[in-house]
Amino acid sequence: MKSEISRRAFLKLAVSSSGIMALAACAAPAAQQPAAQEPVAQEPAAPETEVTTAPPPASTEETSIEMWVQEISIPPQKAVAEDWMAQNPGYVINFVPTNFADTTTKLLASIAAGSGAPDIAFEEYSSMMNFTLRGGNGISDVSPMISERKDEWLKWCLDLVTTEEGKILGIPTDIGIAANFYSRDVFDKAGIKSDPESVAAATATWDDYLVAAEAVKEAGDQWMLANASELFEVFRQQQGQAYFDQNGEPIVNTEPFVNAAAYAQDFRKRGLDANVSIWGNEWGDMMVKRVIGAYPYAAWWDIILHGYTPDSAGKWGVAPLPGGANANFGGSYFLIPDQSKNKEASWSYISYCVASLEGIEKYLKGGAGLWLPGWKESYQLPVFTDPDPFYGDQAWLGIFTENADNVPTIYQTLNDSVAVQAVTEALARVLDEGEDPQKAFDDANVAIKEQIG
Amino acid sequence: MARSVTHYLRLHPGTVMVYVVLGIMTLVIVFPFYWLTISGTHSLSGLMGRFPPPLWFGGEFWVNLQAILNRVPFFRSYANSLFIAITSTITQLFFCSLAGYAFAKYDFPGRKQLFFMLLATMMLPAALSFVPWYIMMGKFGWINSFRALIIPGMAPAFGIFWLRQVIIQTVPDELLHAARIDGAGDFGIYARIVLPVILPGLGALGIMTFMNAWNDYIGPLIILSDVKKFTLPLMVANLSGWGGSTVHLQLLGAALATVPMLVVFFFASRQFISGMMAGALKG
Amino acid sequence: MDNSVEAPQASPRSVESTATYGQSARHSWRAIKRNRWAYLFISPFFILFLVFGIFPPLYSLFLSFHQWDIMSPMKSVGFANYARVLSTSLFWKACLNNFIFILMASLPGLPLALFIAFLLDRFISRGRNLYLAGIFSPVVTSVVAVSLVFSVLFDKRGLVNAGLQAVGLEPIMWLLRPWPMKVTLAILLIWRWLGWNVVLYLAGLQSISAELYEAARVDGATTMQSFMRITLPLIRPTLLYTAILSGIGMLQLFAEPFLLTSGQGGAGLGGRGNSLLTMFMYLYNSAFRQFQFGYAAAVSYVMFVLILMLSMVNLKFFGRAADE
Repeated sequence: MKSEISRRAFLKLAVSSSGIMALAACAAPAAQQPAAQEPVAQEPAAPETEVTTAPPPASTEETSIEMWVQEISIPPQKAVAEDWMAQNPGYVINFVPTNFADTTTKLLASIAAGSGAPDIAFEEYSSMMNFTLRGGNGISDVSPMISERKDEWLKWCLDLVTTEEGKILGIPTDIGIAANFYSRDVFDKAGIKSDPESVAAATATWDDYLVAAEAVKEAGDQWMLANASELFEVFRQQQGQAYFDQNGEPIVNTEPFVNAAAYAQDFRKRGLDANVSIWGNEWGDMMVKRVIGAYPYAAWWDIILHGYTPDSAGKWGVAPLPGGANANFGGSYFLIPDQSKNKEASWSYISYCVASLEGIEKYLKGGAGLWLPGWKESYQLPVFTDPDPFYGDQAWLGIFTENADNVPTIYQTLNDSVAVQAVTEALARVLDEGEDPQKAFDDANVAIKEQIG
Repeated sequence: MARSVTHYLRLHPGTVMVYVVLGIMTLVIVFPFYWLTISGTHSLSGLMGRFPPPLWFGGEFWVNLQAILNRVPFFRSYANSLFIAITSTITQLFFCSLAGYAFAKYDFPGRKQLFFMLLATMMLPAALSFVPWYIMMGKFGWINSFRALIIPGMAPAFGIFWLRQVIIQTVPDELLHAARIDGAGDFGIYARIVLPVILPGLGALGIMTFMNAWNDYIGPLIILSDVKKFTLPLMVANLSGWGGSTVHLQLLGAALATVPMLVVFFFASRQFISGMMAGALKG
Repeated sequence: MDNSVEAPQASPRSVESTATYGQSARHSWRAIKRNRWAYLFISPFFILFLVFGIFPPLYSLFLSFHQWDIMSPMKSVGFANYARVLSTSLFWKACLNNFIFILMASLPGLPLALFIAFLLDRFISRGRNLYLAGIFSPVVTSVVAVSLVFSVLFDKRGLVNAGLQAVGLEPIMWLLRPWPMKVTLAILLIWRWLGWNVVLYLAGLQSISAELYEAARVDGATTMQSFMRITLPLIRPTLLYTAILSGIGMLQLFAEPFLLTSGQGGAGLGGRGNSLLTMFMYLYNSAFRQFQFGYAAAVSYVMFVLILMLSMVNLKFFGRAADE
């Protein structure tokens, strides 16, 4: 579940382990180039910073635009920023690298304190929830800026950051639609043809998936998954299952959860997963040795694969998740705090970066790997159809766009993080201690009730 | 103190055993530092990919160091930590010794009550102030600033309590008397008489203060968000993850942060420990 | 000014002189004026305390009666936060863990430190500083480095398990199973604070006169007997001090368990089975993960009361013994 994913980078040490999908979040460096050609930006006719084409009326002094952003996404943004600055003399983008953890807290604190917020912030979607579900005080509404162009973004993606009153708090950079990144060698060794079509066919349903996993295991010293828990979140989302009902009552002891846990438990009991903790040392070692068959993660997994196995060109492939599952594992947004002193210029930069073809292409290519933008227009870029040697010349990024519109919107509440923690614990008991899934999730339900008071 | 130990000096078998047992124990205690030092010189697979893990140095020191430097401004965090630790130490030693001196050697009205108050503040658990302190730093505009890590802690109650103890035990009243008769002022007495006498104690407290600031984790964790301002512990914790497991880099980072301090400590340990004991409660 | 330097501090010796000062207001005023430098000297602490020390706990108290997530307006909720803290089993689980760590770390750790200090004091004359430097070194190391090293040493395929296997024992999932996790943390804590306590005890022991031991020896007392009859009673104040400090430390435990478990699922809540969840971690999670600042403030006050209670018990238990 999320917390597994997010266990983020800080291996055992995670500084702050903020827990949720930090990885996901980070992965996608948002691109930023101000849209020179962007109509969008014009809307709040910024007198000086004219987003649009014209360079803002040259102020003689340089205006610095401060952005809080995860370190990982700075390098790819640099090139975008340089372009934008060339088009908008007088402005300088000042990247303040932040650690994954706690940027939300810090943003909240500066909103509470009335000062200290940056001009632009970069937040992952599970953190965005904290702002969205609370009405978004202190965050600028970008809906006027994109009103004409709303259809250019994936709808669910904007919905996630739309408040009750219709404020839109952020612009998506990357999104977290998941698919199966698989190791061609592992499938070959298991006697399953390893081209993407064959793998997709061999794992078309959840039952097929078990059969394939058995074959992978039979071949010896390799496993389909690093940890059976990775299936759980996919399963949950496939069923569109929320943690709470509309009355705010936790419902994690319902069938979808219990079934998902039971499936994962079965997977574990048959010895089909390597049973290592995700992101742990042993996991990292297996990653390097490429003995895990599949990693069900979002497009940003590309960055991880390049990082762990830089010399494995041609050894990977991407196939859809079993059962046509469509799950969303995180993603990030740019947002502009109310305190921003340069809103127009900030918007100009953001829209160039993630909502102009020129900017977003630069952004996509500037990083350690690819990721999937939330701006649909970008899907026409060649990068979506170009064969990628790292994946045996598969044009893999396109796979993520096929179902991009159909990600289920799952009912979210502010208490979701409580539920995630309880569910993670319940799942661990089911998997590691062989506890009865129904019982474990009944307990989790009670624990959640207590905690949300 | 002048204990007669002479008869133990003849090598009593029991004594030999104590030496040996304590020696083995001490080696076990320092072993993790040895292992920390060697572990960062291996590649990831050389470290985690083999079992049993290595017990001797590997050949990847430069490779790993380069990887760290490519990833984060590691030496910058060294400078940050040094700056914070040195500034904190100097200010704390100054303010604590002043107050410790006043509490030890002046008999001013309210002294007992004020000292009691000071001790009482030590009882307030940090947890109590955690949230508001953070909000307060926000109001001051000190989030992401070293000020939040230095200024509020410039005169810690523990340091005052401890130096008062040292001054009571090591500064004879006669000395102060004599100086006063010679016409020295209050600050002059503090600076020229008291300070030199308590130097060992100051040194011990200074080392503790320095180490605390150097090693502090929670304060920087909630205050600092800009990686360029990270202190060493934050940087080491932050040295992970992206695009590759990096526990070997973290270990090297931790070794680079820790081992030089341990070496310094080792050479200063004699003075340090005797200074520590001067401020400790006596039975 | 002159007599200001005479009086040592608030020990029995100073009672007399303090008493003289209390006599009359006129006297006091003069005394205050005469001691103006002393007030100046102690003022930094009190100024900093006024600015940074007083507001936070009071504001916490205020917050604890409200519901507040920073973004939405504050809402007064009376004692609801406290009621919730007291009725949440996860909090009590955390609290129980804190007390378990007292049992698993302080309880063995302090006597071990005392014993080592005793051995050092009585038997080690040469090279004592070498021993001390080694034993003390974990104290001066950062918690980040320490937790990192431990998490690798106690990894499933770490050196500790290699050692176990070498002597024919089964490897243990130290950091993934509830009790082994607790044991690992306890070892880390004992290891980390041993030196600190040894030095404190050693300071106490050195003030015990050698003649006492000599006399006991002449009377035919064994080492054990002189330890029980001479050392223990005389070192009681130090024992009290370290016991209180250690207890308070255990109740406020945060960084070590936080770092040891931060790589695991359920991050921030003490890993598998919440087995390393402490009250402070629970507070941190409530405040900085779930943004329930009012609730977190209530947690901090409950912690405060527990810490006070523990200190009282300690005082009673050791204090009375010391008076005898």
